[in-house]
Amino acid sequence: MNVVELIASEKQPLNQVIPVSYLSEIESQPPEIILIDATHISNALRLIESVRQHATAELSLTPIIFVTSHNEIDTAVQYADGQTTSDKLDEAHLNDWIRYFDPIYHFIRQLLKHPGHKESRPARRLLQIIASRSKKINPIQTSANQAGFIYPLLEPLVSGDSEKLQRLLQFLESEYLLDTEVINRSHFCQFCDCAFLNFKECCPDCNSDDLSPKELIHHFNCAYVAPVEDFKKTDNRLVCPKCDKRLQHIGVDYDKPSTVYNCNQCQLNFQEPNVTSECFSCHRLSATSDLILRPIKAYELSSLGQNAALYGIDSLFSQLLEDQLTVVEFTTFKHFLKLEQLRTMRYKKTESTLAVIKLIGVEETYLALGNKANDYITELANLFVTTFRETDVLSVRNETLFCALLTDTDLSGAKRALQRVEEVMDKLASQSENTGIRLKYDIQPVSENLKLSNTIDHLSQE
Amino acid sequence: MFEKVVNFYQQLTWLEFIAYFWPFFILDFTRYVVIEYVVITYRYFSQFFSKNNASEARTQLFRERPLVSVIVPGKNEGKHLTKLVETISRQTYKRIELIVVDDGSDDDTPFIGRWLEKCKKIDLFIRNETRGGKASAANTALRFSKGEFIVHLDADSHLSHRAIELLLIPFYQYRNVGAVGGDIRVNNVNTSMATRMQAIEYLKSILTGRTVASELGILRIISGACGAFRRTALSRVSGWDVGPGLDGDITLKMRKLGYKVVHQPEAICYTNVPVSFKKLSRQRYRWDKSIIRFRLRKHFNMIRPIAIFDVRNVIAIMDNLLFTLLLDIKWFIYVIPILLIDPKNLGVIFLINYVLYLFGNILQFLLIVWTAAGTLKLREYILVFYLPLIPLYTGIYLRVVRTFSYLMELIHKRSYNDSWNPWKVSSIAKRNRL
Repeated sequence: MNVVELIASEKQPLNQVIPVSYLSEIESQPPEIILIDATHISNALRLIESVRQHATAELSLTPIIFVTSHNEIDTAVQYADGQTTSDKLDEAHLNDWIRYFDPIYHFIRQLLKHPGHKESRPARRLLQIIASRSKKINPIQTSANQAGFIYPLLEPLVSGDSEKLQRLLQFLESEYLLDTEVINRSHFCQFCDCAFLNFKECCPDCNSDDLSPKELIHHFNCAYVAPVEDFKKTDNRLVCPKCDKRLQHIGVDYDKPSTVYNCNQCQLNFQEPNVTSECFSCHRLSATSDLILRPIKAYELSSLGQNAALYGIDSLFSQLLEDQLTVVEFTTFKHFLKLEQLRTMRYKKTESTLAVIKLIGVEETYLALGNKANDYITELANLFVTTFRETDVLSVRNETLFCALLTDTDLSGAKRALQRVEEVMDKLASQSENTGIRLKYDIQPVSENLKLSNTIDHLSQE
Repeated sequence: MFEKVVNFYQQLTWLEFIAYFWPFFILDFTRYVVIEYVVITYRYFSQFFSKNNASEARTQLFRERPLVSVIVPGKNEGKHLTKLVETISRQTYKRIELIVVDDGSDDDTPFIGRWLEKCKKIDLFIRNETRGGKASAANTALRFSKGEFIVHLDADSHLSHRAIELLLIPFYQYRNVGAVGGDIRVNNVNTSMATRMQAIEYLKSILTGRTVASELGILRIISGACGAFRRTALSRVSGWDVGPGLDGDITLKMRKLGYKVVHQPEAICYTNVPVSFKKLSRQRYRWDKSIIRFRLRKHFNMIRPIAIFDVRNVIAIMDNLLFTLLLDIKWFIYVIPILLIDPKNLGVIFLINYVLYLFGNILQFLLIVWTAAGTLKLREYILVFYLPLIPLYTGIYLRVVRTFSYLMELIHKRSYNDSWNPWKVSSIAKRNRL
């Protein structure tokens, strides 16, 4: 058993475990568990960040347990992989923990077999954390963070920078490496992205929030209608000022048809106040329609993500293409397409073709083939490289959707080329026990009326 | 037949002729032709000699420029609101706040009203989620109004562009005016025979009838479709009471407090009327029950010699009760003796009565043209060709509907079951005998 306690330099170590002050002391032989004293949580968080951001994957992914003096679990403790108390650091308890963390060790061992494990980019590390813990990463609501929620397990990777973490998660989601589930929705300030907003009802005229709502009472007997304040009170019962009758019961002899607001500043009467939000962080006012409404999601690794966690994001199909073909950003691709449209219209000498290509079954292939998926993908990438020319322009929308501008190629030529690719892919699929990636495409001649977005949308929806 | 009529006529002396046709000569012709001609003539000359008063009143009105609250209560009136705001925007009198109250509509009225409020075409739009009836909606608007004068309109009212200005002038021209009524005319005149009949009826009963009553100081109703009230007067009567017939009811309440009520024939308001006789019957069934409920029951104390006694109030009430309620049965008193004495001439007598009433209607139409002072439209002039139907319309059709209404209200108090008010209000009104 190799359990260490990572301590801040001024701290006293817990007994029974090996205290270390610097991670360099355990780099060469990472422990099975790292204990961190969580009595002062800010120190503990600083230490956990240093572990999670370490360059070495093995150390970075090592399970961490917070040691506290009480058994209560709070949000901060969820940054670690577990929590215990100082009286439960005997061998038996620690062995229980080691057994508990066995899946993490298994992942680390798998990871170390692959030479690419040295890659330490945050996106990769994030995938590795999720993959090793085999957990669904749920958002935890908190008032301590401007966004209103955190992902405790992932926060140490970005030193608590929620915006950076959001960008990473969105990127991974767009690459189909993470599956998501919408847990909640929240409004955010359009200026500073803060989730803590004060919603106020304001006067439509002078914007003051000094409003008095007046609940109206309609007395059936005499049709008198007035705010409840106008009705006299006798023995805790309301009395109609018009007919002097005592009101019996709502619904029987009176009701409350509506509420009218009065602005105490400009004396305007109205029924629908403007709802404005004031940000607690930057103090700026926004109309509710200007606020950003975003879903708050839980994340889980997809099969693609499982593969990327072990073998790296770079080895995926699109990266392979980028190394050998003219692959450009989508915005640049649209410019190329526009130029080609203008060129063919002007000179009318040649024809060019737009191909939108969708790969179907990528995720299932990764899931089915496991290690072999990489070889399969590499072979597929080579097939694309031989099909497209250097003068063709490609753009990757996401891991499964590509756009290709085949210059000086007519519709039939493009069709022949893609059919060849399709045949080879079917052959590859049949060789891999009928699991494999299939091709779906839509080809359109480059003309004045061609709309790229329509073609992409049409294929994406199929 | 013509020979029979001539023979019958020739054998009568003048006295016998009047005796045979006494309802016409003694009651209707005297009341609706002679008196109206006399009063309108008097009005014409008195206005001629007091032109300056009206002019000065107008000057004072525009010098003071009091805020006028135009209140429009209603249910499912969204389709009329756009035209209504257009009508208000074209008024010569500009210092207006427009308050619309939606009384539990179940169509697009809330959306239309809010949108017009957002566009600043309506100053205040109040939506009552639960329907409370027209009186409560009007009182809601009154509670949040700020104007010195309150103009009550129906949502489908189309005002002439000077209507509001003309409604306000009497408040400055005469002393102690509590309410001024506009001249209600039919907008959809040519839609059907029913609308043409109503157009003539409105001109007779409102344009000339109410002008005469106003001159005599016995006007008993300011229409809810177009009526202006002094805020202080409305506050004293605490707004409107549960209807139907709330417009007549509030007018009588004001009269009891000693306020003057005036009809302004030049403040023209066009409204759409029922297009079929069936719908018209339902409307009149509802209106006529209110005469029993409010004039006979609630305000009958106006004829008693109590603190609020005023002989003009007595005449106002009695004129209405006499000529509509009591004399509704005059035809039974008239026809039964004829059946006993001279049954073989019943057809001839009926025919001569028809001719006499037609003659009376023609005279009334001439009076309408004179009273209107050039404000009639061509479609209203053309109504002269439909006058031959009016004796049948008023003498038979409306009389049948009216008689039925009176009986249902007198015997069964059916006004309390009218769906015009929500049941929660009607049940309380019935229990408390309001």
